[in-house]
Amino acid sequence: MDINREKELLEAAGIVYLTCANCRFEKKGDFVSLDLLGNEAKNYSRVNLHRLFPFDRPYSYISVLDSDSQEIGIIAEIGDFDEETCELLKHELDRKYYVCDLISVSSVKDRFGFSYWKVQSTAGEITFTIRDTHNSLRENIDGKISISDIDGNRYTLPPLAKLDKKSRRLVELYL
Amino acid sequence: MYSINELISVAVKANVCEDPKNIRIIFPYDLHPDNGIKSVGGVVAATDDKVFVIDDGEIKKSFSLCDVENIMVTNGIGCIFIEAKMKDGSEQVICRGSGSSIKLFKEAGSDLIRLVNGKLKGEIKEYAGGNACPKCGRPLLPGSSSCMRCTGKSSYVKRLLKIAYPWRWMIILSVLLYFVTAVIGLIPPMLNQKLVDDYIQPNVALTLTTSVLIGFVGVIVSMLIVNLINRGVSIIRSLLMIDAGAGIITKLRQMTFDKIQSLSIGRINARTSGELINRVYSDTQTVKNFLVNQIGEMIQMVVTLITVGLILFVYNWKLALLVLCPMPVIVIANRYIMQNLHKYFKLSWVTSSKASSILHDTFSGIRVVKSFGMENKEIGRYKEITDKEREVSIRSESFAGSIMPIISFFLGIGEFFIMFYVGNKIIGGEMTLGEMSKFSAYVGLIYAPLRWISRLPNIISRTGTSLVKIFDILDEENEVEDKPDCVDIDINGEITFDDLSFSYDETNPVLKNLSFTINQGEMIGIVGRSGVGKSTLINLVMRMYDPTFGAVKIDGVDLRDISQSSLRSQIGVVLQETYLFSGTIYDNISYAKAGATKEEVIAAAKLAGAHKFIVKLPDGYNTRVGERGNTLSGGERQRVSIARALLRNPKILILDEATSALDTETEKEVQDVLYKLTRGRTTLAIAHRLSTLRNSDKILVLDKGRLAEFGPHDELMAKKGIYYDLVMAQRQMSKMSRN
Repeated sequence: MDINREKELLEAAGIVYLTCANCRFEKKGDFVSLDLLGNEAKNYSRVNLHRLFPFDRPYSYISVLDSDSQEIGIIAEIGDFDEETCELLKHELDRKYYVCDLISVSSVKDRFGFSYWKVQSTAGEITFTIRDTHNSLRENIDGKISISDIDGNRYTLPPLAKLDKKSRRLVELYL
Repeated sequence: MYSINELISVAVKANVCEDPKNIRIIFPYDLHPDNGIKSVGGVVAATDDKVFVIDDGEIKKSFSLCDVENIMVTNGIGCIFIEAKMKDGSEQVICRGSGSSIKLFKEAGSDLIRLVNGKLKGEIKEYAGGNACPKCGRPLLPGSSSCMRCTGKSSYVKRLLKIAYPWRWMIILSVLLYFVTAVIGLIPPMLNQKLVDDYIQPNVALTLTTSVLIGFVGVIVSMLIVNLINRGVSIIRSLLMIDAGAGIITKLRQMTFDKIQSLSIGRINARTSGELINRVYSDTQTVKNFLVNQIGEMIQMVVTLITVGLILFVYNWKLALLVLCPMPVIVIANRYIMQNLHKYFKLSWVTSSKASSILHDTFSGIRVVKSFGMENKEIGRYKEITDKEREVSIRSESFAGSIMPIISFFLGIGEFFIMFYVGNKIIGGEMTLGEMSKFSAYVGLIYAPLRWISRLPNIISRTGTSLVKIFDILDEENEVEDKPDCVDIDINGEITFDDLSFSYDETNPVLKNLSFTINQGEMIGIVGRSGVGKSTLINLVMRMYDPTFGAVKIDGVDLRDISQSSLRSQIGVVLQETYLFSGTIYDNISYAKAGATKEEVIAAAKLAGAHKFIVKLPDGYNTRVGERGNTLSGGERQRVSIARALLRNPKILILDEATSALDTETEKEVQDVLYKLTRGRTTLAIAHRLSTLRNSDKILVLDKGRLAEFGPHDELMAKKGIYYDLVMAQRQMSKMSRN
């Protein structure tokens, strides 16, 4: 019964799931192009990829949009494509979503309603400022901690359990 | 951050051009254009003919400007791109920057667009280094153009004192009275010593003579008088401060409120209403408290610290040292502990606010919770957060509960030294009991300023935060300002869009190259898909924003040359969301025109079709509409808002989805009213239901920000373009819904 209802819902929504059977992605210039195959065959010289669950499933459920931001379809799992296409899509996503990986937190100072962070990243020591810590830090489903600073930069910290004691003590306050 | 000379030097070394003067635009980028995470120190340079992308000192990419059709600045997530669309249809990434480069990329991208269109004027310029302070490189706070660390606290203090200037005598007198309070506070221990040594436990046995009695009573009365003076001084000080405080807070609030009112809609929208309310209320309160209470308190504490310290040292410097020696350590330890305590309390505050937020969510949405049978889920969610709250509360309370007695013990440890030292002196006959009582009282007095000093950083930080936030608003530049030579005009109603392009962020245009003229008295229906720029277009007519390129003209005069008050007093607006202020129906209608007569209000209501329902209300025009007008129906609210728009007898009428929130019958009635009103007035109407635009003289169709079609209904239908398709689609839909 439930399965039938679920099936009915999926059919009613009419979402096009893009797979290696019904489409082909290619690199065109600096961007990705899409060829829809079969009855609905159409070429899109440039498509934009957008993560539907950026924190939970960064390489699954990718919305593919045309130049007018209209959705062409959804990629359920980029790993289902061949290795070359998978790399192309992954590369495009990583370019669009710039997230700096952090290793540890050296200090956090609250001042004038903002918190100033000094952290160690994979590219060395960096500093950034956060406003509204309540909404700027979030613990993802995999335990990693996502941070957004006042400039819109994004950072990821390892899960609390994997952080050193000092970093854990500092970050815990804001989660 | 590179200076412009360093950037030019990189470009010249990479052989972009021989003469640096040929470079028109130059800026850095910090992310590799093609590599997901690699950070680079690249440079983009543009001459009049070509754009060059330089990385590692080499030109990695270059293309001719005559091959470029358009330049776009597009947002990634946590990064930003500048892209070029070439005339051959291909697209390429010019450069990519992190979030910190957003401001720089938008400005530079905008100049690249101007360069491509041959509209870039002026010399090469240095772009602001992202959102960082150009002096210290630290990130600037959002909406702030000045860095707190570099601006200098003294400039804020100077400005604050200037605001408080009218109440200077009251403040100075109050500060003097704090000084007096501190000095008076030194007298009771002296009197106490006299009382003990001369009368309670004198060295020689006293006989109760009249003079002894007078002396004894005299000391008691003196103590009473000192206490009375102290209280009297406090009362005068409080009265002075109440007066000065009320004056200062009113002035600060008024200044902040006035400034917010004068800001453009764009600037106001950049902040939440809660944030603005906080600025006007909480931050001004904090600053007032500092000015009227904490400055005086500071004086009192400093005077007490210095005078009591001196007295102690003069009386017995060894004893004074015994008392004061542990204090620096205790003050520092106290500060450290307070910081930790502050963190625990913060944690506790965060969890309780999360718990309150769940309560608010659940109770506000209780119908949804019950409809979906999610009571148990909500109970679980609340239990989870209250468990966390309990855990945090235990941690913070345990810390506070165990550490505070220890602090108090150490703060009072000096008294044990005194007891030991003074006890020995008394036993040895070198000190009297009265002297001991005086000394203990002075030691007690000196603890208060020492404890207060440990709170000082918090006071300064809190006041500084509020001060910066208030001055941030007061210093904010207004995007839409009246020119000094702007004029008041009597509008006839001809509106011209002259090659207008508009973008909210100066890069991604919402409206592109619009050129058309609306004749005086015409009704124009504006149609197009959601997000195509219809509301932006009417906001430009009202001059809520200024065009990025081109101009809007009314009767041939650029809006930027007309005073905003003159312009808006001749435009009437009816929006989809009718906002009625709490007050009466009369208040809401007359809001549009100060000094409107009752006759005018009734006439406007009659024209708007509101009068017929108002007369049926027991309190007529004096009916209170409640918060947001919730005692009226949607149709009634809409009619009141139409009456408000009509009260000014506007030359230009703007209807932004004015009837879309109404049911079909009410919509028809309001439409009929509007039709009568639009005759003879230039009217701009936006509506999704195209049938509501049937009376329009012309239809203006927007598509992707451009003017796609413009003409009478019949002409556009015959053309069978976008408008025809939209009409057909809606007809199809209404047929389906009828079936």
